[in-house]
Amino acid sequence: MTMQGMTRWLRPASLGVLLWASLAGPARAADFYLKAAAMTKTMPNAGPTITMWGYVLCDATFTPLAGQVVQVPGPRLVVPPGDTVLNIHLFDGLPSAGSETSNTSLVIPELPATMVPTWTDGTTGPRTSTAQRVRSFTQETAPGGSVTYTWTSLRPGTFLYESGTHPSVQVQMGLYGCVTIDAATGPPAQAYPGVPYDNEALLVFSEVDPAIHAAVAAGTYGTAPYTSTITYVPKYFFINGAPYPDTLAAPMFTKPFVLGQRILLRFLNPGEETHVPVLQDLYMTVVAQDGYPLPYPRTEYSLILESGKTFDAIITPATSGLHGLFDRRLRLTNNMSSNGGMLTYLTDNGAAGGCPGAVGSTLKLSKSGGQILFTWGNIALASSYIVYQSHVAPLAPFTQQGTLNPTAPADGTTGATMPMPPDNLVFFLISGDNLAGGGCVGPQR
Amino acid sequence: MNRDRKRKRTTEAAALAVLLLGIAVGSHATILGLTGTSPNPTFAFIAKQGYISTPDGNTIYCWGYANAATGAFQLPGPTLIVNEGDTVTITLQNQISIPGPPAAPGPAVSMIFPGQQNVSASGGTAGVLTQEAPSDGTTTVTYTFVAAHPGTYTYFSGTRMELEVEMGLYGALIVRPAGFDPNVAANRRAYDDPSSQYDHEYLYLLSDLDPNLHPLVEQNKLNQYDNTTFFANNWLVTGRCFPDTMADPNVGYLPSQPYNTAPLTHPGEKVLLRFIGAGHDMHPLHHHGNNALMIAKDGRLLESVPGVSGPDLAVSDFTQTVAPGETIDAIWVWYGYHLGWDEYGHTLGGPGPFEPNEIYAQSTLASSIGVSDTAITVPAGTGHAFLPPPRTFRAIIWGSGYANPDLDPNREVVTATRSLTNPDTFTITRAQEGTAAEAWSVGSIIADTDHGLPLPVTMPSIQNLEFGQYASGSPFLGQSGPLPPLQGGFNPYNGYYFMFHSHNEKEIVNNNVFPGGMLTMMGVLPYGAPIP
Repeated sequence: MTMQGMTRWLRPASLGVLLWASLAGPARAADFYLKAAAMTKTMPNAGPTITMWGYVLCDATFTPLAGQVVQVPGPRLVVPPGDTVLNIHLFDGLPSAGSETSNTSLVIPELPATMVPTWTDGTTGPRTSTAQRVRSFTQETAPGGSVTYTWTSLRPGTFLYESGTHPSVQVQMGLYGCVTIDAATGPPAQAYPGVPYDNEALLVFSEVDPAIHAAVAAGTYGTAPYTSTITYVPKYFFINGAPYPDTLAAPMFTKPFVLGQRILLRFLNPGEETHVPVLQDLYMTVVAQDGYPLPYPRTEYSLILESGKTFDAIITPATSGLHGLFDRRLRLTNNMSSNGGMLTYLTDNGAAGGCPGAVGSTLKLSKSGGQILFTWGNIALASSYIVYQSHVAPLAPFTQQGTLNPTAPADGTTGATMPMPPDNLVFFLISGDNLAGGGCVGPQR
Repeated sequence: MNRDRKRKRTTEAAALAVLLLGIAVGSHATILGLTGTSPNPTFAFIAKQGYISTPDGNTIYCWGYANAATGAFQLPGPTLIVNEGDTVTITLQNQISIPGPPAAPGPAVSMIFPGQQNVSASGGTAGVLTQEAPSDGTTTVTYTFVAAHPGTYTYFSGTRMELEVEMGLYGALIVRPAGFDPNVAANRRAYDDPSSQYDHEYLYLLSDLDPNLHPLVEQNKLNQYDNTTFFANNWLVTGRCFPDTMADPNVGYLPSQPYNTAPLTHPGEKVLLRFIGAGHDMHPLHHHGNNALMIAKDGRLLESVPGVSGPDLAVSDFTQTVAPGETIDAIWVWYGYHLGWDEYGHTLGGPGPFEPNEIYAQSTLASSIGVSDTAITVPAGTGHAFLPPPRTFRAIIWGSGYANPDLDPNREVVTATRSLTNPDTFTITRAQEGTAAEAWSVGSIIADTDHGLPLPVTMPSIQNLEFGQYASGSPFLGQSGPLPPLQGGFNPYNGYYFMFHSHNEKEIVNNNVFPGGMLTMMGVLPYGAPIP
């Protein structure tokens, strides 16, 4: 992991600020402009480059916002608390998909909306012939055009959005994403009334069968051997659009990880299979499913995460350590290679979300008598140092705290100290050229 | 008068309970496993390879955690049974060597313990989830944790799980609550809460395997091993496929599959079912005979206020959906509740004891009735115990001076339906089953019971029936009847047997041959029949 990669974890927070600013106003309506388009993802282990379909966040002319690219899963849409209307303006930039049309649409399964089906003959409205089958759950967007989809019965929750047209093709191609609506902005924010959280992570589970994607890209989907998604045999298994170890490249949490804080995990499954996420060394309190708060939260370490399902759960890690999160249905390969698939970490490695090749070499920070105490795992002390940076924009260059005392024990049992720094600093432990850990001390809001 | 009756009944029940206890002392079926020495149990494991046998005639190359003290490969790994608060230490070495040709060292292996917190791992090499033991046979990895919460847990390899879990590196971990005592009924619990008390416990560790994948490992063709095309053909309960599940534990012909799952109980006793998902797939484990009350998941009671309220969010269900990696604790009880006949074959007036649990609901008459009345009232608030309308139930009315209806020569059988609007008012149909309508005074007893209710069908000729291994030849518990030659014979105490099985019916086969796979038979034996 490079230093450049690490700075990326700050982006969602600043993006959130941007969205909020653009949405504030008397209308109390949240408007998002999405463009559906093709993209590619390259799989780890010298794997293939796979054509996928995703969404990119745009301005009102459907020009991608600065820094935004087509992504799978699509951009998370954050609806401010109290908004009563959600408008998603969808531009269809999809390529031709062979026997399937390139029309598309957007639905949110758990939120009611006025939906008029489109039939296989392209008409809408009441069914006039038994030969008509549904190809779209709601009004379609034609290539090059746009349609606005509106929801007026909003409630707090974590929801999936996905294509409602030819869903067996378009959803598995990647046309899905997440809408979140909090009950209160805080701090602390409330996911549901009475369910506060300090930090959060999205966990979107999905899979890819490269053969079907190749057929769609080549325009041969619908003909043998890929007559339909019935032939689906996924080979790559994603959390947030990437298989392990690429799951570690993106930030896991929206804020720096602080021990003892309440972290909201938003589990979503837009894939075609049931997955069973299991937490290592942690329990979670499941507070909601399908965007409905549970009257009595459940304490468990595993979830049955079916297709189309969303769960919200709170973890409150009290100790540092490597908290693995993996699919116990053993979707843990990249094609046939071990150590892949649906695996990531809920660690106090801060922005890194985990450190490949640095298991046990975590950086832990705590306040102690007006000083900040660093402890760490097994590292080569002579070539290690700690850097820090403000995580509040504008970003400043990294400041080096200095090399670690080579006489300190390598297992960090006593650690190093520095005077209590100002808030809003995030620290990284660099060992050689590698990130060996990261973290910060509160308050960090 | 009514109070006197109740008091007397209670005394009788207590006396009977003592009697039963006298018979049943020491017979609280428990789960086999390694217990170690509290408070610092230490277990030494060696990952080994070996073969399991399946009833379709196959022998399948597998990997498993072996107890180093015996060195014997086994599947699943040893069931670890420790006490709440114990500091548990497990050492792991790895002797897996892939036969080939060409022979090759096995991969590193490890252990992870979902549900245990602050697990420390040392030794070996770092893997993606924990420290791993390379297959040199000598490197030792040590895992240590405090078993802080009672419950049912699992352990499995945290290394190349799509390979190593498939090959069999998994097992069960049971944490007994503080104060657990198998010989004191009140302290024989799954959790700290008294509602988790049980009489017998059984382990259902559910797994599945694809017999086409294992030879690829055995023959060192790992480059062809593709778990994304996993297609199970064998389904196991605690390491065995039916009918091997019902054989004795540690039988010589299953040398590497030591654990059986042959549950037995008596009517009315609480059976704790510990379910663990250890394979790839979810299994809908269906128990016949009665619903079970799911009291815990993942080692935590289903309770509204954790640690305080007890399992007030428990779910009564007839199928437990056991997902891989998760655990479920459920309590199952069977007695002949509204079975439709007296399961003991009693006739009204005796002979034959009046068994426990034969009365499903009981109250008294709040006002007297004559021989032609068709409505009765019971004391306010007591009617709720009876079946709600529109269901009709059979009831017996007898004089308050008699301990049970057998003793009252004037007892009357009626059918009764509760009023829709007043639960304490019943509409009754008089003088059933050959009894005569009587005038009943205030305080006379009315009970919903199948006691003395004859079998409602005429049994067909045995020439027209097919009997299974567990058939007794009689519809009555504890009685036998004629059987054709070579049928039955597995049911010496003439109990009732209920199938506990995956309701994904393709999973109750051995490689496409029914019956087999994920299936056991729960035996409800008559009172007094010994349970190991």
